[in-house]
Amino acid sequence: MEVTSKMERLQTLKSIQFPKYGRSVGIVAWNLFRQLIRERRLLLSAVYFIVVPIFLISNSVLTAVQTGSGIALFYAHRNIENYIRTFYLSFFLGQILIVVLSADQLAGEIEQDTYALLRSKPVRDSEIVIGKFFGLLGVVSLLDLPGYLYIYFYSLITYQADTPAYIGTIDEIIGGFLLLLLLQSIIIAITLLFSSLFSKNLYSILASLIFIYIISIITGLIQGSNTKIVDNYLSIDWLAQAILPSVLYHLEPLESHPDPVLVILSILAVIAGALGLTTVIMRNREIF
Amino acid sequence: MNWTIQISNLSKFIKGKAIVTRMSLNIPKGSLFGLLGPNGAGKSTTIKLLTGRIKPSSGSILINGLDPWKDRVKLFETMGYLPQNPSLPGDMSVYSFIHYMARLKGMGRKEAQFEAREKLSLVGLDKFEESIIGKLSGGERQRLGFANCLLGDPEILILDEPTSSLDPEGRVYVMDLIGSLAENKSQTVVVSSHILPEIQRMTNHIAIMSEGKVLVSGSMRELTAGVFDSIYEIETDHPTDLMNDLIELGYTCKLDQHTVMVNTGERFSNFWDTLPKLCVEKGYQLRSYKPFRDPLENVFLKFVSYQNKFNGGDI
Repeated sequence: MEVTSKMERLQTLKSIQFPKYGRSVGIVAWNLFRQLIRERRLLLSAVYFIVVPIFLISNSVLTAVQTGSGIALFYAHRNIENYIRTFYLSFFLGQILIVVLSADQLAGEIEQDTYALLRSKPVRDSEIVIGKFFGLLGVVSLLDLPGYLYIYFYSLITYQADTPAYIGTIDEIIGGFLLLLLLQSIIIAITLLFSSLFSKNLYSILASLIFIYIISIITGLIQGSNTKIVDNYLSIDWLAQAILPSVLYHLEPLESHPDPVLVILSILAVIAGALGLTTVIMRNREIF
Repeated sequence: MNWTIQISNLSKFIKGKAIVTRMSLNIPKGSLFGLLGPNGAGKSTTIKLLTGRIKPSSGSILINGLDPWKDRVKLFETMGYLPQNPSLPGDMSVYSFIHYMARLKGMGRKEAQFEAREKLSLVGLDKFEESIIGKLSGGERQRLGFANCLLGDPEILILDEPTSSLDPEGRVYVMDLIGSLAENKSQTVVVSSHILPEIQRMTNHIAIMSEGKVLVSGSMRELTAGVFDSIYEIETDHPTDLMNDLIELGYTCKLDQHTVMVNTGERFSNFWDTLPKLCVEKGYQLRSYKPFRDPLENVFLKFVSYQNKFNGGDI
């Protein structure tokens, strides 16, 4: 009797139609990832993302770090801050590359009328948007990875003899890498949002860059200590400057910074908001 | 009757201009349905409304009980769509594209592989699996678009001008393919075209559209029943003699190379008594005779010219 009941329950479980939502996200993301890594512009981006940080880092963090004195610690601290600023300065163009990669994902598809192909399949607009987001994030993380590995091994070589405390652990390196990806995710999400508003690729690129620049200035002004517009480099690098030193090198940042958990939650909220809005726009968009 | 598509009072305005106006149409299940009309009649807009690409300004569309704009995802589980001149990603390979589309259709990896190969073979593109789409000819791209819309053997197929960018050989191939779908009576196919002989060859039900309105709709047999052309083409071994004889009998005739063109006018039924008798009496060999226009062409011209006259204020 009990066996029959169990069998019945098993049959009932099998007959339940689980929602298929989300299955297409992976398919769209993987297809986009594969498509982008074959593109020439990505090769250019890869060269940029690898060569420029290596060049800048090699020229900016060479000041010797001496052990045993407060002055040395101060110099080390300042060097790290300079290094981070330089690294993010290199992302001045890097962000433009992310925007260029992301901007044609919706606007370009509408411009070339290929979005109609996706819409002629049982796929939700939200799945397309989120799939595109993760596809782009995958590509960007691939671009970041060599630079990040370089940072780690560079710090290992530079500091292991004199100041081993400054070498981040693998966990910290991964944490820093994920934080960097979160910051880049904001750029991707905002660019996708602008991409959904326009039918021309160029307009969406320009609008995204202008918007990110404005946001950069506003966030800089809100932070108070980073009021110099020149420090923002078309980016939200103040967040990185505030958080990365502690994540990577056990150092307190020189400038005041918000609670990291709050920052990460805020970043996730911005990403979710931008992607949600993009989905609503695409859902209600007529494809003539 | 069992209707697959029910359109009721459908209107669509784009930039203040009425493209489709209070259109009502029912498409029976299992039919090969042709949307026929001149350029600018509103066929493509109707197709876009049917596939949920655009939202109706007013009225309703139900496809198997589902609204294409609101229930697009559910609807496309059982529907395939071929847009006019489909834009395909030029940098993908033929196989990657069709496999990707099959996966989006809801198939597993293995099933999608099998389905992709089967449909490519069906449209004659199996030798082009590794080719880059951007390097295919217009006809090959159209075939690929066709393979895409056939993925998963959908119950409903919506084809917007499927032969528009094809060469003559490709046209025949696609028309035969669409014709073969008629063998599967459970599949409903809607085809739009402005080329009358193609619609006639591919479909068994039609709606004639002009200026955003459906002028007439029904099965091909219903629409062409009782429609006769008054002008006939007659081929004989003595064309000049036959023409002179017919003129003497009061018919309006013209010689076009070796063919006699006869306008029977109101005396249509008498003509078929007169012609055989005349040929026997005079010893003319009657080689062939056929109406100058086919019945559907007459129906089309009758309704479209009526609509044009009406709008022009002639009536």
